[in-house]
Amino acid sequence: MNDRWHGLRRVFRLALGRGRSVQDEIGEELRFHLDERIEELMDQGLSRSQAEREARARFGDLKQVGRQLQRIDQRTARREARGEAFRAFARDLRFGVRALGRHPGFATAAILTLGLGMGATGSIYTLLKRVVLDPLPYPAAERLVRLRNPVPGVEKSGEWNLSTAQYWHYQQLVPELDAIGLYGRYGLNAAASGEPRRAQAAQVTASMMNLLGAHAFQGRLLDSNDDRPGAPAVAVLAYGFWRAALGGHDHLVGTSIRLNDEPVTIVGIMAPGIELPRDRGETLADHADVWLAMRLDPAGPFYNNHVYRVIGRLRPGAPLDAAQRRIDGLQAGLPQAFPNAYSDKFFQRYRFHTVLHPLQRYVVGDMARNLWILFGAVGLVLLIACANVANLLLARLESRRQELGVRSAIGARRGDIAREAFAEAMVLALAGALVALALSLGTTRWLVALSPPDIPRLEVVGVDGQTLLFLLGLALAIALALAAVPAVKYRNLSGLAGLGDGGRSGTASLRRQRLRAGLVVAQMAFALMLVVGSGLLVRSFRRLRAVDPGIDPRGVLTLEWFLPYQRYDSLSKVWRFHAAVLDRIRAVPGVLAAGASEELPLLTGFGCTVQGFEEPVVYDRIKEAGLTTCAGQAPTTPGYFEALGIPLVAGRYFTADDNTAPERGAVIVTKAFAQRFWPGENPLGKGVSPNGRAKPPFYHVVGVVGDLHGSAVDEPPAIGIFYPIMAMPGSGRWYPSGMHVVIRVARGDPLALLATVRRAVNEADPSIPIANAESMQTLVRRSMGRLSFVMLLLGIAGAVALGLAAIGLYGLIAFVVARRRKEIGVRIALGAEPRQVEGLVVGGALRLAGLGLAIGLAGAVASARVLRGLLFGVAPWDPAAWLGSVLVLLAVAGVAGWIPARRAARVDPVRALREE
Amino acid sequence: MPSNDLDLLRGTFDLLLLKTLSRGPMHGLAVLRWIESATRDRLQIEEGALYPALHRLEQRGWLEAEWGYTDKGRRAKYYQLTPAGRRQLAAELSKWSRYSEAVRLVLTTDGAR
Repeated sequence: MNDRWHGLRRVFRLALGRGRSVQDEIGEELRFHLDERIEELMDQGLSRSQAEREARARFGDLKQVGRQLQRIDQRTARREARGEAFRAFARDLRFGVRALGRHPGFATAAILTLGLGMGATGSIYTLLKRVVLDPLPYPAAERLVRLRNPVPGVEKSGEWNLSTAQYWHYQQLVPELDAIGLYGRYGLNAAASGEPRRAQAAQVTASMMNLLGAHAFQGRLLDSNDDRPGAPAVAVLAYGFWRAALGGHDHLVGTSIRLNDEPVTIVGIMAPGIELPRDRGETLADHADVWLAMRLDPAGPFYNNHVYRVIGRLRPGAPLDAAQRRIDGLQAGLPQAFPNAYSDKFFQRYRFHTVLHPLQRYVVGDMARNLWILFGAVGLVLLIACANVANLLLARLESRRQELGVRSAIGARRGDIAREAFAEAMVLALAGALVALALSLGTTRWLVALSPPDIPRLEVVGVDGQTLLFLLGLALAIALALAAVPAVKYRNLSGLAGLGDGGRSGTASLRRQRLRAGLVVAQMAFALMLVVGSGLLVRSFRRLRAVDPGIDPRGVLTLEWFLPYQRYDSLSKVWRFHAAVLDRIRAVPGVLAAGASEELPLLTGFGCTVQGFEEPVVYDRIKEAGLTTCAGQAPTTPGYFEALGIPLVAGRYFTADDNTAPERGAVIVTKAFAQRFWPGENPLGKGVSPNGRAKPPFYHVVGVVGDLHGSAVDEPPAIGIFYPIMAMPGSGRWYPSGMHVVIRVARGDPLALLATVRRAVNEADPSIPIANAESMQTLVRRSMGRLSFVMLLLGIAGAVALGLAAIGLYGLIAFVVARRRKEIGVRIALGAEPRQVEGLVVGGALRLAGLGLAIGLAGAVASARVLRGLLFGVAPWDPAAWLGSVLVLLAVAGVAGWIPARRAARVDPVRALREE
Repeated sequence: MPSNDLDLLRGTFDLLLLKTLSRGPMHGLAVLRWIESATRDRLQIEEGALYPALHRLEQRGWLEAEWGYTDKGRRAKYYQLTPAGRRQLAAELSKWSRYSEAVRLVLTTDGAR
């Protein structure tokens, strides 16, 4: 082993960069060589100086060889040092494993606790990284912006999309944007060779291809030639749609596909993974199946129709504010440039203006805040878990005080003991990381399945290398923290009084266990934060569920169909189709009601179309209130309200006559509509007209239905007006696009009716596909998805935190009780009642918990404020939630203290006093 | 200084060093002398190339070095084969014999056409 030691020493010298030793050795080696050669030559008869010259000449360039050797040796030294470091680390780990192996119970508990905390953190981190932190998958994603039009005069928080007029205007006059694209999304019926399918179309300007960084998998993409008005209709298929719906056959490029009965040439297949950015408020996942060209005419005509989505890209170096200022300045020019679409009055009444949102922030939206909240929550759980493991380590060290005292007495250095502690902590942390990785794999998938559908970018979430790196980093930090705990506590090894009294002090008390008590108090504080947060969310959720959604979703099937304009070019054709199919469906036994409308509560959002009113006083009233006369307008068949279980407040529902005799002009409005436009009056009989015309013929209100919600129950009730399918002659026209069909069944699973519906539709027109069939209850549940997701996870975090904190408290109290057996024995021998002893112990536990609560109060207040955006009908200082949380915590602490308390009360004084 | 007899390729040089040291630990000069005497001075090793070659072999783990004393009592750095070095030597030897056999075949085949 001598040479090994020697080599090792040299290696460490070299590794520390003290190259002089390397140089010394190289010099000595070469010196030896030369000296020997010189002697040889002198033996052959040369003089010393001749021999030296000859030897050097024969050797070559001494300096250069020396430098070469130095380089080689230094590399060798570094490699050996690395190897030695690894070996040392591996030795430490092996040592740690052996040490822990002697206490498998402790090790298992610690590893599982850490694994739980780290696993939860890893899962949420994976979600956070993918959804919030990773950049969007577009080139120069950080420069992309989304344009929207807030209209505070109409709705406080909503924003509208853009008009084509705005698109052309900004394209020409905003140099801060080096690209701008416009797109729209809608459903259509696609048929290649087989059955028609419902497909999602994305109609885009050619500039969108560049903005999205799209490239073709086969064929070509849309280009500016395709995007001219009058250009032949071409389509690019999405990769997924090509494979799933069209079988992924080659040679489809160049063939034609029927979209809404129009033949369109396929010019290419998009590469996989190219998607339009998610839009805020979209509740269903939307993939573009077919890409079509927008074919906008720069010459117009232009309408005040704000339904187009616009994305832009800032020029490199152009800040967002510059572009925003430019657009603000251009607003005044819009009425002049597009007099048909804009007037100054429009801007005043609606307070319409355009804003730029950074695209990533826009897409991620609220979800960022929610995920950060969850990340904070699991972070707290992790801290509590680490505190538990630290407490376990300290407990173990306490029982090793004697051993440590002996070791320090015979010369063990603090550094060695610290290294051992670190090695153990590292083993625990790494093992915990492994457990965490396994846990993350499972829980991430569960999280994705559970999450509300409007979380963006969730499709690509998965545990990957970055999660592993995160966990390893976390493990290292935890190991350092855990190793620091005993190192801090036993700063002064020689001060251990352990040797004298056999390692057990008779006066161990809570006060002496200050560090451990401090950890437990911290745990309680953190747990309070989480429990208060959970409590607030639970109450919010219950309030939310108690809100009347305005419909009765039980036993209702909903689905969508779409009648293409090409074959259904008159409202009477549309009506005939609906009448025929809905009558057939109603004839099925078990069906109670069936109907269809363009809007569906809790899904479609009930847009904003201007209505005309017969009574001029309505306009004055509206202007005074600073509102507009727009409402959600929806052509609706009879049976719709009955199927959804929407109650009738006044008047009557629709009948078939309203469509066969459309000149009667019957409309139905929601209660909120009546209250806004005719407050305090009887709405029945009032005159309204669609599409903004304030001229006759007017429809008249024949019924008022109960309040509905457009997309979510925590919104104000929708202002909605329902027209029959057939329009009054001489009145405004509409074209119903996708119709939402609702069918109520008497019993059983509504989805079981799907095949029958399919048959009924086929009998009327086999080329109409059905889409998005689901039960209304699923939809309602989904609309509450966001709050329930955060609530569920926060609740789990709170419960886990409470459990861990209780375990921590229990561990400490039990430890102290065990230590104080002698003292307890003395007390009982002197006449203390068991109940008094119990009270003493539980009192100690409650005092600790109380201290934790007091300290945690500030944190809990902060966490309540952070959650404010998620609360519904509940204030951040809601007394029920707070009181409940404090009581729960105290109760749990009481139980945690009571178990060891009972043991203390049963101490046999004789035995206790006799013990050593 | 290039020798005027036979120039030496690096790979073959390493082979010679390994083979020489397989006879037992030697310092650099002894290796040199042994090769010269074994080849009856036909092979002249460039002295400046020897030590870098030895150090590289040490870096690759085929040699290990240790300071010792010559019989004249002077300190010298002795090299010897490691077990990995022995394995490498065997592999290189077999490669060399296959190579030289192939060359021999080419050279001795009647090629006068």
